[in-house]
Order: sequence, then C-alpha cells, then structure tokens
Amino acid sequence: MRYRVVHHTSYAYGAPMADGYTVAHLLPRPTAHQRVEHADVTIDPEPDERAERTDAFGNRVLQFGVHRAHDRLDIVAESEVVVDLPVPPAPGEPWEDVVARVRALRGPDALAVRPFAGASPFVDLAAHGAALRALAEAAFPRGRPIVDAARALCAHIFATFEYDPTFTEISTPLSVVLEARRGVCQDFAHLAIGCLRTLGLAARYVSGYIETEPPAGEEALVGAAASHAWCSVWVPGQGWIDFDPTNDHLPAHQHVTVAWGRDYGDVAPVRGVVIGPAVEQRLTVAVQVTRVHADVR
Amino acid sequence: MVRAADLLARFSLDEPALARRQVEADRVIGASLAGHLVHEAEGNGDRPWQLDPIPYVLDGAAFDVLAAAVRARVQALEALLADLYGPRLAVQEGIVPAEELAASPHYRLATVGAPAPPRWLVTYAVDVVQVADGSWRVVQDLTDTPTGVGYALIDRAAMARVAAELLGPQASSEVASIDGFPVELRHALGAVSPVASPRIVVFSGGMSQPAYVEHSLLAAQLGFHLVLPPDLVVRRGRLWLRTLGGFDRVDVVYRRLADAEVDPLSVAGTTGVPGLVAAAADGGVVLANAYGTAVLEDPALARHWPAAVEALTGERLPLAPLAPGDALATVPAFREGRLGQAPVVIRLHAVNGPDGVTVMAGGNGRVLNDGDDPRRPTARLAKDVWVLGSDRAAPVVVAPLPQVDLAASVPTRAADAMYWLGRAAERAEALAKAARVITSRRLTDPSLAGHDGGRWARRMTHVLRILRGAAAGADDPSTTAVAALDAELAAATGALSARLHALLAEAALVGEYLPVAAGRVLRNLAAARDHFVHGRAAADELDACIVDLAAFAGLWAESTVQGPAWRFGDIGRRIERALVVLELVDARAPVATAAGDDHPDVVAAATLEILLAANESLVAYRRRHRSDVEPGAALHLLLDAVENPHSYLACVHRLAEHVAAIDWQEGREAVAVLAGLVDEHGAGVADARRALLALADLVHDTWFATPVNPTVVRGRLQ
Repeated sequence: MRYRVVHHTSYAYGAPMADGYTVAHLLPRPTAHQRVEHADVTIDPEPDERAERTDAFGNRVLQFGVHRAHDRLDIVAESEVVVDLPVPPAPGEPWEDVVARVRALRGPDALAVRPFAGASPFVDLAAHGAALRALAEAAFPRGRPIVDAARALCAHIFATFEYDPTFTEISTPLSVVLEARRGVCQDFAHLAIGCLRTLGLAARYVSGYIETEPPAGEEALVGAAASHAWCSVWVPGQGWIDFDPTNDHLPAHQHVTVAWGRDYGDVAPVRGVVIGPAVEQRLTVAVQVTRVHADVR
Repeated sequence: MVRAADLLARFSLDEPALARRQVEADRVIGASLAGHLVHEAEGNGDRPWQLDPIPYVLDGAAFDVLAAAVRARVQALEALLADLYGPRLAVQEGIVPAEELAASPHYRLATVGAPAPPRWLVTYAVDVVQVADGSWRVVQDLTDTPTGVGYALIDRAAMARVAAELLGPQASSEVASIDGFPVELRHALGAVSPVASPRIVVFSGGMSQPAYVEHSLLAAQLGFHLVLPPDLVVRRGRLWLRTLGGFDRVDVVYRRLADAEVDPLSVAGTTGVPGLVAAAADGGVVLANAYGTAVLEDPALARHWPAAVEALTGERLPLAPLAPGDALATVPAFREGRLGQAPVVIRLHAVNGPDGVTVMAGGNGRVLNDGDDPRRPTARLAKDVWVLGSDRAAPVVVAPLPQVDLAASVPTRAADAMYWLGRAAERAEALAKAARVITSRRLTDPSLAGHDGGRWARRMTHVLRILRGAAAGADDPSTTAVAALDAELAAATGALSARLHALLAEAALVGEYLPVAAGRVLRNLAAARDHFVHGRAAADELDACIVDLAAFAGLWAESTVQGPAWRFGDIGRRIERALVVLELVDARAPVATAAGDDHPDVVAAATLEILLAANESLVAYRRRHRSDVEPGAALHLLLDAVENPHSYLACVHRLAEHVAAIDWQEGREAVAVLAGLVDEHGAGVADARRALLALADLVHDTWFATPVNPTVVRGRLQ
C-alpha cells in the first residue's frame, strides 16, 4: 500500500522570538515492511542552518535553527511510503522463555534488543513496577505464547482506559495515567511498554501515523488527526512485532512508521527551544495520511 | 626524611592553641569567600565551610601508592568510557547489562556512536578512605564535574597562615606544594583542542551553584573567562562567546555544570546552551569532561565496572570499593572546640594531560560525623591534606599555553555586571555620606533640627528622599519634621543596605576581574549590609562603611586592570556620580512649605554644607574659600570645577575618555552634549539629568541587551 503523508506543525508565539532551535523526528525511516519513496521537510521561516543526522537508534533526525526574530514557525513534513502487508505473526514461545532469551542475548543482538528491556525516563519501572505488573497480570498467565499475551495486554488497556485527548500533557507521568485510567496514544504506548518491560520483555516505542481517510465503509482509527504512537515487542525468530493499544490491534498496513526509541522522549516529532520573552505559544498540528492509487503497478 | 607522625608532633595539639588557630582559619576562609556572600543574605544558609586546623598528613610513600592507583584508575576508566560509548564490548559480552546501562539517567545516547572525544576525562577525582588495617578503599569516583581543586587551594592558603611554622620557608621542603596543579590543569585543557591557541572557558551555572566560589577562583587562577549559559551561543556547529566585540570562537569548555544542564535541546536537558551537545559530538567544540562521563558515577552501575575494566584492559581496577562493614581508621580532628578522633574521607585530584596523568600532591579532606554516609558528610568540616616530600609536587614549569588576553575581549555579561557594580557602589557612597553627615549634624547641633518649624529637618528629609530615588512626598502633618527626618534616615539606611547588596551580587559575578584584596573589603561591606538592613546606623558605623567603600573605590581605581570591562564599570560609576551631583544641586532649591518661602539664612547655609559634604567636596571648598558656605562658590565646585573629581563636569570628562577609549561613536555624541546642559547657576539640571539617563539607556541597549533565558518548546501527540 502506498501512502502520502503530510504532517504540518505550526507554532505561533505571542511575541517575536530572537532565536530558535528545533530537533525533529519527522523523516520516516525505512523498515522491514516499509519503503520510503521520498521524504522532505519544508520550514518557514527559512532556517539559517539545518543539518540531518542519525541517532543512536538509526532514526533520521533533522536539526535546524532560525537565528532571527520570528513570531511563528511552520514545519511541513511530506513523504511517500510503501507499506507491505505484514505476515500475521505466529503466537511464539511462552513469554517466560522470551524473558530468559532476552537476558541471554550477547553480541550485536544484545545491543539491538536489551536496551529496550529496562526503565527509561518516561517509563519509570522503579516507581510504577507494582502497578504495571498488576495491569499485566491477566494478560500474562504462565506459559502463554508471547504474541497472544501482548495482544491480550493491548486489548486490556484498550478496554479499561479511556482515550481522552484533553486529559494529558506531554509530561504526564505514568502514575497519573494509571490513576485516572485515561490518556492518549503515547500514554497507552508507555503503559504497554512499561507492562512488558516490568516482566523482563524488550519493548520499544514507535512514533508514526495511521491512515486518516480510510476507504469507504471503513471507520477512521483513533488518533488519525495527529501523529500517532504504539509499541513494538521483540519476539525471538520474528523480530519486532508492533501492537497498537490505542486501537486494540496489531498494526496492519494502515500504520506508517517514522522512528522508534525507548519512549516518547527519544523520538518526539518536534522538540525545541526558543529564546525570547516568556509569552504564550500556540501549537497546531495537522496530519493527513492518504492512499495513493495512481501508482498501481 | 620527615614522617607524618613527626610533623604532627611539632603541631601543638592542645585545645586552647587549636582554638586560636581555628579563629585564624575561619577568618582567612571567610575573607576568601567574601565576594560570594549573596547567598547568605538571601537566607539559604550557605555559610562557608570550616577548616579543621589540624592537617591530614600523608607520608610520601603512602601517597605514592595512592597516586599510582589514581593514575591507573584514570587510564582504566578512560578505556571503559571509550567502550561504553563506542563498540560496547562489555555490553555485548553481558558484563554490563544493556538494559541497566540504557536505564541509567546518566548514560547519554547522543554520545553513542559519535566520534570519540580527544579525551573522556580531562579531570578526575576520587574519594578514598583509610580502613582500620591501614589499606585504602574507594568511596566514589567523580567523573562528570569533579569539584575541589579550588577549595584545596583556598584551604592550603588558609593553612599557610594557620600553621606558618610548618608551611613556612623553613618547612617548605617537607610539605609538597599544590600551587603547580592549576598549571597542569590549564595545560591539559589546552591539549584537547586541535587549535594551536585554543580559547578555553570555565563554564559555570552561576551563583546558584554551591561551587560557584570555586569556579570563580579557578577562572582567575587559570586566566580563563568565567562564562554562564547566556554568554554562549551555538552557530553552524561551533560554540561562540558573546563579547563586547561580537562573537568569539570557543574551542574548549571546562565544564562545571552537570551534563544534564549544558543543553536544553538534548534529551535530558533543561537548561544551558541550545545545540552544545550536537556541536561537541561533531567536534566543533571540546567539552571537558566529555558529555556522558557522569555514567561512571551512577551508583546503580558501579558494581559492574571492575569486571568490565578487567575484561577490556586485562588489568584490575586498583583500590577496592568501600564495603558496608569496613571499620574506618581515625585521625586527630578538632571539632567544635574539642580535640578528638574522626574518620576522614580524602578527595584526590588528577588531570589527564598530553604527558600522562598528574595527581595533585594534596586534596580535600572531609571529616565524618558518627553515622555519616562517606559520600556526603553532614558536617562541613574540611581538612587540608598534606603530602610529605616536596619532590612529589607537580613541576610548575610546563610549556606556556597561548591564551587570548583577558583584557582584550570581554564577555558581554561581565561588562554588564561591572557597569551595575559601578553604579551600585557610587549610589551606596552617596547614601552613606548623606546619612552620615545628617546624622552627625543632628548630634552636634541639636537645635538645628527643630529650628524655624523644622525647616532644616524637612530639607534634609527631602535630600535623602531624592538620593534614594523615592517619589517626592507631601509632608505628613501628623508627624513633626524631626520625626519625619528620623523615619527618612531609617529608610535611607535600608536603601543603602539594598545598594550594598546589589554591589556584592554584581561583584560576585565578576570576581575574577577584581583585585584579590577586594575580598576583605567586600566582606566588611557584607557585614554592613546585614546590619543596615534593619534601617538603623550609628554615625561611626556609617563611617566604617564609607571607609570600606573608599577602599573599594581605591582598589577599583588603582588595582583593577583597566581593560574594557573596567571601563564599562567606570562608565557606570561616572554616570551615577553625575546623577548624584545633579540630584544634590536640585535638592538645594527651597522646598515650598506651609511655613513660607525658604530664604538665605542659617538653614540654607547648613543645607549647602551638607550637600558639599555628601558629595565629598566640603574639604575642597573650605581649603579654597575659608569662609562660610556661599551658594555660588558651592555650585561651581559641584558642577564645573574640573579639578574636583566629584564635580559634574569631571564626571563628564571621564565619560568622554571612556567612550573614546572603547571607540563608540554614538556614545561620544551622547556624552558631548552633557557638558553644555548645566550653567553655573544650576539651571538646566533637569535637562542634564534626562540626558544622563538617556546615555545610561544607550549603554544598556547598545552593549547589554542580554538574551532572555530559553523556553523549551515541545510538541504533543494524540
């Protein structure tokens, strides 16, 4: 399936800012199931400097600076990607065996997988371990195959937490989400990741998009109007398998991956610093993901 | 060869003698901190530490063993860091669990896979403690921003006074000097840059950091600029210092800020210089220590390091870690006036330079109380650490490091602080002198205050109100003129305290530009500030304050390097002094009151006398005129007597010199109009005042339009 993605991020500042620096994870990376045909980011006002680098996870990172007075910043990321229909995953081994395998990984695999099996800034296992274990318990009975268990966990989060885009801030700690039992996609992704890691499994945070305008007769998915996030769990022999707790399913072809990391903090779509008076700033985000039909081969 | 026990035996260990040494130690430490007394006034309880007058003495042989261990640790930890941020073999082999490393709040992903820095650890410190069997244990490694070198220098300078008979000329061959260590540090910092004549800065978080005292001292000792985050800016992958002359390239950052505080753009960052981490990763600037070295300090990971080092280097990491059950050795300690025994943690310092690792032959001793965590002693009781054997001192002569002349380029913020320092000092002087002469006149001439319905008292109240910048207020009919004057004297004394505080705060920011002797004077001014804050000051207390301000002015004029920073400070002084003169001239005008017009009489004469005295011009007047104060002559002296350094015109001439020296055309024009605005009768004072304030605004807008702190912007997902 071929998708065209337009992701428009716009900041309006209440007064001119003297200087601004931005780091963006907006350029989709290629994956085993995704080919990036083209990707570009347009910035207005034109930055005084701009550079692209690759981060420790292999994501494409754009860093730019506007070093003159500006009272707004528009960032438009446009890309065209081709997403394969992934093969439905096999149920896999009992999850306890996967835990043991993660710990036993050595060599390059240890570097690729094990960093995702511990705590990270947004997934504080020391503080929330008990609550996360309790949340995971029902989905992880002894001996259950890993893929089935992870799917059950996402279904459980989907069923018992309410999607509420008005509720959370970027900095909402897991404790608040656990207490109020509501949140947005990144909170649900963090919850699922926390549950998986507290059991000793390796889980990573995936940032991307889902199709905004589904074909006639199909319902639009939750989180479609903005950037989206879900989680991915490492399964021996199959690699990383994506799960979307916000939509209670395995990401099929409707998901476009941009970047992954330990949690939101590693792959925030746009992050930055402006230097100027402490005034109000307004952020608007618009995302459009549409199927491209013209190019059927 | 002298042994530690022999040396200590020469030290009289009886309590009265130790108490005398303690007093001297407190005094010397206090004076060395005098430029940094801002915290105390703000009540955050950051009092100076105390120095135990009994040194911790290490035999040369014992130090040699420790120093060898420290050198080996630096090499081993350097190799460990190179692996943890490079190939990660120790992680691949499972010696350092990957999930624990990734979970460390001090492991920096931005450094993973980036080109290795020239050196990971340029500076290193380790806390060690001796256990009962005489062997040594490691309490903790300090790899992020090891602190203590500056404190060691301060402590040693204090001990040179306290124990002159042991550190004096005759004994100098016995105790190793630590004076050469900053030279080693400078050499090592210069060597990490590929640039032939690197520009190096001491990067501090400013006065809110407890170790700011040390940052300021080290900057002065090393001859580097002390910079705060707003002084620096990243452009096109390089780091620049904002100076009066524009952006100056920075090659090496001696980082005194924890790595989470250096760059708000980094994932972990909250404050700092946006883009600094990426610039360092790309090699555009060198951070010393490198970004990410704090990971070695993470207590959750420390147990993995010995095995990782052994796997990577084939060598054991020397010195075992302190185990919970270890019994600590004790040494004599003087605590709260009592001689006793206590365990002492010793911080040893090393620099990792081009010629290898140099270990300072000394260190910071910290006395432990019962039940203390050796990492964080509760008492702030320090011990100077002496190493016996002068041959163990670092050689002082190393290749000179070309450095940019401090006087030639000045961080904008430093010039700004000097400017406000000058203004605060001048205003404090005017307030102190006015309060002093009015207070003493009240005492020596009690009838004057109530004379003619309190006319003099009202005039003096008016003068003080103008000098402290209060709005002209109507007389309060419910109080007598004398009571109003007393209330105004209290208010002026409070205003004096506030100006002294501003002076101290600015002085703390530019300590490295001020002469060393300024410390003692500032200490006295801090005491005056604390005393005057309640609004009461006796004449002799004001006298003492005036003397200290005069001493400070003398140091300012004669002992301060007269580079661009000083010129901006002196511009501030002359602007403020000229404003004071104009205010005094203005205050001589009669105040319209219900009692009727003021006319030339005893009150007018007394008023003029006070104005002259407040401007320090009364002696000049008497010498010249030998008569009662006559208005025309007095005005001449205040306004256009160029030979009187406190006259308006003298101030204008100095301002003209300064703006010419810094080659500032707009400033020249703004100063040029000042001279013609006031005539010898005092007409035009209001115009001159406006023009001076316009000049002050111009100085600020042209040179010090300081950047506002960064605001973090983050997106949001749904």
